[in-house]
Amino acid sequence: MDTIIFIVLLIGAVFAAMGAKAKVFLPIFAVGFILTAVLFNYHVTSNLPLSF
Amino acid sequence: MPSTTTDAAVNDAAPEQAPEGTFWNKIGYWFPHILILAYCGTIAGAFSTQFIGNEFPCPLCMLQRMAMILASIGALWIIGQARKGTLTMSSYMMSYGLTILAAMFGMAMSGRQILLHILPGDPGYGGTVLGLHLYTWAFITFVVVLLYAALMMIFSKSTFPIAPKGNAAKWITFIVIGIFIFIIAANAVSVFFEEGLHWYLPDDPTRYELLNS
Repeated sequence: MDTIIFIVLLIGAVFAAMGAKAKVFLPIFAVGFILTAVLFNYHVTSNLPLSF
Repeated sequence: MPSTTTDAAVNDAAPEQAPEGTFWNKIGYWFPHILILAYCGTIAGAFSTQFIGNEFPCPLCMLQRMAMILASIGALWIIGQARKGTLTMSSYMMSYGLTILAAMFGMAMSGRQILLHILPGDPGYGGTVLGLHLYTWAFITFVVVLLYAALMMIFSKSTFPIAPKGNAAKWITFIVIGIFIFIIAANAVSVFFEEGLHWYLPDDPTRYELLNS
């Protein structure tokens, strides 16, 4: 999942550097953002070994 | 009629400036470069901790790197459009809006990690730099980026970026973009080795899964 997100971010960065149009760039950014949010949600809700 | 389509188009256009731009237009162009380089430096520092200090980045560390890259991509879009000459006031605002969104997201992630280790006696995760853990530094950088983007939006009329002419500026931009792309690609390769063929990183990684599967 992390690898996929970094690849999406890499594609987003290439389009951003090219000064792509909003309708091309924003969906890629949104996909990267949402995938990161899903991953964050997974790690926040998973059982962490908290041995305090 | 309070406004027309033509008025909206005029409001969205780049503000009228001298072709070379003012000092603040140049600042508006080079500041996104500084943001990107600063985050490249931060992630390079995290890489040095990973490879020289032999510390494995945890899932929340990787998420914070993603948020840093997302915030930088917002700034990179400004540079790309300014160079292409297609930057409008609305897309300038939109770019910093994306940066703010990513910075807030990063604050949530680093804040979460700070809170995981906030109890007295908890040593925290990984080593420290100047007495603070990397995730605490990450939180500080996200706050700084948030303030920076907000200020650039407040003074957007005067800081509207105009790409300088000349090969030197072009090459500097090219090098900054190259470093940024390299850092993202290096993260993709590094996390692939750490994650192996698994869907998620373990909560407390202790080895490169790809090399040990």
